[in-house]
Amino acid sequence: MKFLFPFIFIASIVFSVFSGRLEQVTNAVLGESLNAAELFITLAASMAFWGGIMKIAEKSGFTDIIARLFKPLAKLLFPDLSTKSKAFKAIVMNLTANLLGLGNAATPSGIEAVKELSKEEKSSGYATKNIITFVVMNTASIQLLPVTIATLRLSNGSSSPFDIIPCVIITSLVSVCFGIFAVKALCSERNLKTYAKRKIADEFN
Amino acid sequence: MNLTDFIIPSFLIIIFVHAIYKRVDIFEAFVEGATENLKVAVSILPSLIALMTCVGMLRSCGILDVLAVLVSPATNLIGFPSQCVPLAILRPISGSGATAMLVSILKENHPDSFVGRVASVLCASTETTFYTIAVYYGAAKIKGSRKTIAAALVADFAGFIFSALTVRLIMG
Repeated sequence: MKFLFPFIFIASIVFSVFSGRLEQVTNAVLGESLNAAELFITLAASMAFWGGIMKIAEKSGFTDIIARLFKPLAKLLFPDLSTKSKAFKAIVMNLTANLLGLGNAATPSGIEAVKELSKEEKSSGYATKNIITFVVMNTASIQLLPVTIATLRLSNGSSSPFDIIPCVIITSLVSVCFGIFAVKALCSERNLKTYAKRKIADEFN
Repeated sequence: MNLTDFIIPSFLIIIFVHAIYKRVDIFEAFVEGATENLKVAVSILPSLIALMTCVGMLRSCGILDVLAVLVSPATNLIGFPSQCVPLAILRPISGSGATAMLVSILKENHPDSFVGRVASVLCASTETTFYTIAVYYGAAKIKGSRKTIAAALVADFAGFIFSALTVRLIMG
């Protein structure tokens, strides 16, 4: 972002001179912070409300129940990991939080999962197949209830903001699957061994 | 009334009833969670202002329209709306930027239009790739992120294509 921000300012002003849109760009500079304030109100309200609901679920142990349902799936994706390990528990907590749409709650357990995985697999700070799979699952994201997006749709005049849910679920699942397949393809045993060997060799030289 | 109307109410009922059963102070828990998240939202505001201004400048100077036109032969082939191309480009890079772009797409095209729906599905089904990788690997001090980025972008790309496909096939 620190490079992108000044670059975008300069590039768009320069480009607008050639595209004849200098006035529009100036208007954007003047007016977009107001749009940001408007967006902030919607976001803050949505985050606060659903954050409150999720806190209730957390305190009542509801999130733990959901986490227990996820054990078998997590076992399937990370077969060589023991279910008792700290890494496994953090992974389940993170996936559960993501599924319930608790993006912010998912981050701390996600970071812990990566740390524990690195410790357990003794990778000395290099990304292993499990770590990559886990992080890719996070970036691909499976959310059952896209509440923030729905709130944005509602505030812009949608008559049924949640009608996209089936599409979202299918698309999320497909993208996660593609991600996992890509990791399996990129991280075949041979690939990882040579990669690790090369890195260790680099460090010795 | 269709099935999706029941999702939120059932979800809320289940959580509340379960919390009552577990003797949780519901209002106090709600306020605690709301306060926590409100703080997070406020911490995002400065970046949001910067990002929305950038997105506004990019959209108004016309450079994104040029990009969209360049990519349009490929995207038209698979039925991906050209107005969502800038969104697809921005989504893996910046979450708030993508949200800002989504809002301007929703304002220009009604949220229930094809374009509005594809944009919403696209944003809902994928995360900010580079930011997530940077946060997780940065905090846990992991190196060697090339394969992660590659695989994550494959996932994002599949997400873009399928967001257009699913909206077209399911919503018509």
